[in-house]
Amino acid sequence: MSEGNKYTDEDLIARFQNGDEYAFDEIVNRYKDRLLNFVFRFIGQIDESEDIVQDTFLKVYKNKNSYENIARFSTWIYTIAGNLAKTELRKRKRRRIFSISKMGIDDKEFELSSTARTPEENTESIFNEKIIHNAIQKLPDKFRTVIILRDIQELSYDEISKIIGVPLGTIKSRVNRARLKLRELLKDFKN
Amino acid sequence: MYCNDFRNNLTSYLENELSTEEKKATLAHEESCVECSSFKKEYLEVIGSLSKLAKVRTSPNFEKILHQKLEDLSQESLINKIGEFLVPSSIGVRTAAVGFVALLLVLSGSYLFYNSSFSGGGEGMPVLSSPSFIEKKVVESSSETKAEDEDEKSAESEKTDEEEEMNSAETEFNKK
Repeated sequence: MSEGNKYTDEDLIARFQNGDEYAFDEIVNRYKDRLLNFVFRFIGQIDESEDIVQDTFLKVYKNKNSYENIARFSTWIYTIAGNLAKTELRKRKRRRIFSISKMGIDDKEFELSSTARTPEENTESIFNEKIIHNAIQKLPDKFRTVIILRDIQELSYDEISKIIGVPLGTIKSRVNRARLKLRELLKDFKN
Repeated sequence: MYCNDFRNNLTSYLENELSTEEKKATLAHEESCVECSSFKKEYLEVIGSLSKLAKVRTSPNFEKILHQKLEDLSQESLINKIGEFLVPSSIGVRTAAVGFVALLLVLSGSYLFYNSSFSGGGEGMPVLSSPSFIEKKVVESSSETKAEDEDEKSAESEKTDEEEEMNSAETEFNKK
């Protein structure tokens, strides 16, 4: 939707609040893959991640008037998605079906965006992908969240601080500790 | 600078957030410490690997499913609104709803009553509310009552006749 591209996220939500349903479609178009990546890396299961992203958009639809143009729209939608993902993890822990070995990459096929790689790079990259994905799942929740938002989603520290509701200094410290922890885990996996 | 400080400062160092003095100290330590130099290299590899992770995409029917869920949501919302109207939560509104239903019942009953009283009913089917039917019934019942009275009277007179016969029979017996 080329016409949709000229609007900022805040413009789109404002238009949606005024009854423009096409604005909502554009929001879905912009955020569905980004949110899926965030949720998938957080909870590790692709099917459930899609459900959570669907629920995120349903919440946006139902509660559109709850958004006020004080914070960025991306902060709001990531907060919703993050809360839903955390709820899902808590449910899993209560059900005790969460298993480190039950990862998303070997499960049902999911679409990856195409990148120009040689076959060797593809093989190596898939292998590394598995190791990295598994290692991320082993991180404590608060480390996992920040490292996904910072190093995978490439959000600013300021935005991450608003999404999680924690001071900026704490976010930077967590990101650092998360990277150190991940480094250790990756070393263990390789060994 | 100690190795611990170096490692804890890495993020700030890479983000260019250290003061000039801190930056110099960090750089000097990196050049002098083989372990920390190697550590920094691994640290950067971690960040690089994360940014290069393949991006997943939503399934092709993602939006179709979402629109279906939105439709279900709007239907559910409509049903809830109807439900709230029929079974309202506040006492005052509930009372009004009950009164309204009662009024409807009375009105429909009256409608049926007046409607059938002018229609006269069908063939062979007595119309209960017809005045002519009621009158007829009254007449019938009074005639039935008369008939019963007459039966009683005739029964009594028969009894009297029997008694007389018995008495006469006794008299004749006694004579013998």
